[in-house]
Amino acid sequence: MDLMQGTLDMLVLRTLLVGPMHGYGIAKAIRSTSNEVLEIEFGSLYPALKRLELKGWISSKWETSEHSRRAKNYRLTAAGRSQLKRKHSKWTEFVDAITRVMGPVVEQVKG
Amino acid sequence: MNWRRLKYLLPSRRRQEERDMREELASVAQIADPRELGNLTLAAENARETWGWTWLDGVVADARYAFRTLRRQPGFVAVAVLLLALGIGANTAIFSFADAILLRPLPVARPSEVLTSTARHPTAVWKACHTRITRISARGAVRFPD
Repeated sequence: MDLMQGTLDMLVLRTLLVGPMHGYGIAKAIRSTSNEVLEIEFGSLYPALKRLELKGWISSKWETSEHSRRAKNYRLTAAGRSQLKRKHSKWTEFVDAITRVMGPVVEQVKG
Repeated sequence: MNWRRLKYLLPSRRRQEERDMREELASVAQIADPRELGNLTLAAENARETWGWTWLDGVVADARYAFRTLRRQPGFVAVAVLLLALGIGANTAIFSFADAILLRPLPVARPSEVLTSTARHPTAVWKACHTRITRISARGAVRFPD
């Protein structure tokens, strides 16, 4: 499934709300939470992470996991949190609007 | 313009960021299935673009290439530099002449009171001026009889 840039940003911010995660973990989390519908490759996620970091919405830090493996973990910043709130309300508004227009599809009765 | 981008202007900062990115991509490649990762070279390329100075890298690379090419053709460079020097020199000379003659006021105390005369002999010049000027006003304007 193709995602618009803004949508991907929103998904990343929402995923990081749960807690800090490394880049590959974020991709996996989005995949599994969406029941494999949103197949996000790490390769397309990575530039988005760098962009979000540059905007100051997430921060990154090298950390050692319990398997003593070094990984770069990303976490939501305060600015990222408020950005997520803004994006979330816009998103809800958008979905509501589309839902109202689409409605249920009723078979037309020939008569 | 994001002010955070400014720090990426420093080459040392960019090299450090590059090393960091390589390490991160390598650490992910160790734990992930390559099919899930996608094109990492492209990912790195796009990440570099978010730093925002790829155009500057391009300009520097072009300048270096131009310099290398020119060093192999010293004759061409010599002719080009000579022509530039002659062109700029000639233009400067002509402009300073035109500036002194046409643009700047004459280097005398009251340039508006300077008269031109077609008479050749000094005495004739003096007479011509003396008889034709009726009055020189306090502001320096010259009036001629009708």
